[in-house]
Amino acid sequence: MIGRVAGRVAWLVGVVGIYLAGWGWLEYLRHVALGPTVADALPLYENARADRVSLAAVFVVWYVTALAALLPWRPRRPLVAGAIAMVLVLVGLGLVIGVQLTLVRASVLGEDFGAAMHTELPWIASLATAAAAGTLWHRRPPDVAVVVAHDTQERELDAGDTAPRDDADACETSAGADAPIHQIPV
Amino acid sequence: MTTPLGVGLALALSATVALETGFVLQHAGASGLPELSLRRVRSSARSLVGARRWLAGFVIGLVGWGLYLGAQRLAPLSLVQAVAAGGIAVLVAIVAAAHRTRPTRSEAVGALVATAGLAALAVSLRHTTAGHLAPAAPPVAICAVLAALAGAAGLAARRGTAAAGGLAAGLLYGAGDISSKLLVTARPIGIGAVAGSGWLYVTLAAHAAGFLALQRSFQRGGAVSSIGPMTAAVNLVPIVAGVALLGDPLPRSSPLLGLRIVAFAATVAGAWMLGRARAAESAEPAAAPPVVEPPPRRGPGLPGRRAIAALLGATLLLGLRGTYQYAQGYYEYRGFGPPVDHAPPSQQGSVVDLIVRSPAINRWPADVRVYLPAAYRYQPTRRFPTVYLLQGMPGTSRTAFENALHVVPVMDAGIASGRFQPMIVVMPPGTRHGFAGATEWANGPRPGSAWETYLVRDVVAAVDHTFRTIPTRAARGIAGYSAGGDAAVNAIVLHPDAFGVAEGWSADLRQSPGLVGDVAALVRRYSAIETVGAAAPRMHALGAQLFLYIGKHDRAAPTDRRFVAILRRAHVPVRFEVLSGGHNWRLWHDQLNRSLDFFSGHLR
Repeated sequence: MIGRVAGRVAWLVGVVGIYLAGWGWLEYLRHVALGPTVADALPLYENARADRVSLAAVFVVWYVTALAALLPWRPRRPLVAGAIAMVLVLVGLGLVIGVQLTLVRASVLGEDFGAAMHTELPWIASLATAAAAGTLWHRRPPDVAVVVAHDTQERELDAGDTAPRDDADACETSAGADAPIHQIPV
Repeated sequence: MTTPLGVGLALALSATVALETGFVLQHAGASGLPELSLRRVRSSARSLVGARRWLAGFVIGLVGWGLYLGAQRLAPLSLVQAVAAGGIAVLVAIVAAAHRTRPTRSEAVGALVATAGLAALAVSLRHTTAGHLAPAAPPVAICAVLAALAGAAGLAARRGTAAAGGLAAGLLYGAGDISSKLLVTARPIGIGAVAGSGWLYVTLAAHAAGFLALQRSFQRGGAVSSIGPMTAAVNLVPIVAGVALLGDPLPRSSPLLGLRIVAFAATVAGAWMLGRARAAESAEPAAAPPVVEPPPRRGPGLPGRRAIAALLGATLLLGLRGTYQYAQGYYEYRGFGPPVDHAPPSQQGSVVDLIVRSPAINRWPADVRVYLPAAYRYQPTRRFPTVYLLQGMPGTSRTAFENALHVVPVMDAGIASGRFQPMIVVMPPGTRHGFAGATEWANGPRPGSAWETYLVRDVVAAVDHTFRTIPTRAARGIAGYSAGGDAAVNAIVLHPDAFGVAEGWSADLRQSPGLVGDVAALVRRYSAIETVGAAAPRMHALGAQLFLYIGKHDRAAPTDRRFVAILRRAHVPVRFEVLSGGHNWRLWHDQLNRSLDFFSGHLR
């Protein structure tokens, strides 16, 4: 239990670190002049009117960041997980941009969070997250029932059969009853 | 198109002919040799040098490389590489004409695509200049990209196939081209500078590794498999890096930009097709030695995973360093970047530290920054008017005025252009540690917190004693932003005999009770809106001048309006402006020249 909680905390810290590093890569790429630009991509430069970053750089940075953050995640329902990740990134980045705008404009966070949600960056990052989730999970194999047959002579199972859930001694399954069966002799 | 750009692109075309000829000869020479290895450097080198065709190819390739470096010096990397890629078509035409042979169908298609790419590139060059020499991306990002290329090449080479080996060679040659561009555009350029530059060694290492990877890939699968991926990578990597990392200029109009992108794609695709076609042709008669393609591995083994993990870790750490740089850039410079002084050195002023130990603040050693104009050096008997700049909270006077508002270069430029009269600028600290113990320049209720006394009595006395100031109220001005603005206005209201001119930049003229210990008498004393009515007649009599501005979204704007109305009723001259913006650095940064104009015009 403690190990599982520690693992989740470590993953959360890792994700925060990865997203922090994303801002750093935007900082490195802020002089890249390639195509249209995104306003308030680096809000701390708003005073100097240097907050715009190339759309291509913004998308690439947040796409790679999302790839790195989602890599260890193997969700059972990719669509739902992707949607949750998109919303989290949207709100999370909106909040981070809002804090930066508050600092730069010496104003109120409540107002700046609203302003941040009207900027393009959280939405682009959210789309990049969707793209990353799609990249990682579109080839995810369907749930597979792995049947560990102790005696293949006695139990012949054809692909397409369902795992006999009531016979725990003979078989161990790792997925739903509708999944195809791969038989592993032991 | 400028002359250096034209010469650079011509050199790139010549380099292509030499390099491609060299590659073909090297392939012909190396394919019959025993397997080369880094573990047997001597015997590998001996066998290569012993093959005459390979040696000739190597020498021609070296000449081509020299031409390529010249091209890199004169033209943007992406253009040089695109011309080099498309230039293979010219080579095909020359070879066909010389041998009176018809090119194969694949060669003809490849040459046509590459030529079309070159034509598109030529059209897209309208209004293009040679660009700037300094790369756009910081060295750390360039190093990270080079490391990533090397890592990717290592992973590709581990697969053991000819195609992967060609790809590895292309990535390494591409990395070498990026570093050689950085090498030849470094200033100053010279043998010593080149030999001492780290980019030289990166270039040599990348080309050496690419060279070895290419020779090994020739031996593993023949030229057809290896040259295609190699050509694609060696052209794509510098083009992308030139645009993304080195700040190569791109056309501003959308049609020309589109044409440039098409040109890049066509030249690379043409080069790739031609490379494969020519390699296939040259491989046909060379039936021996038999080539056994080793089975491709399923994926990187444990060391491969380690390399990927190390690469990801390095990317993460570099990113975090960038985040720190981003935050630090705001903390130090408020996003404006380090100040750059464009005035000629003879007209640049200097900044000195004056340590003031005032009893009013328990003799804490206050580091007062003092800007002395260039004239202070050249006119040793001349005395100068003085401007006191007061910081807001938190922050330091150095961070606020020197780093964020760029006071020193702005003063230098203004004095050099004759916009401002030469003035001494004094920037005293107004707090010991950020918000801790800050009273916003008021004499607080606690012992050792008499910041007003420290400023008006001790700092002014120390400055007048140490520097050649005009020690009169008419030649002494005071200004500040935010809490510093409150203090500047309080200073002229409470001490009109000490300061003749004052400016409040986004000043809130009603004191916050918490900062002066909730003492009603102190709150009233440091609320200029409360005290100005009684002080205005004397200010009028002494000829005080005020300039206040505030952002229209600043909540203190109504108070400032009432303050100005009181002064105007007493016939005290005051300039008041409500500007677009809020309570922030952009406003103060944008208005600095006008603020200094006011001092320059009124101090005497």
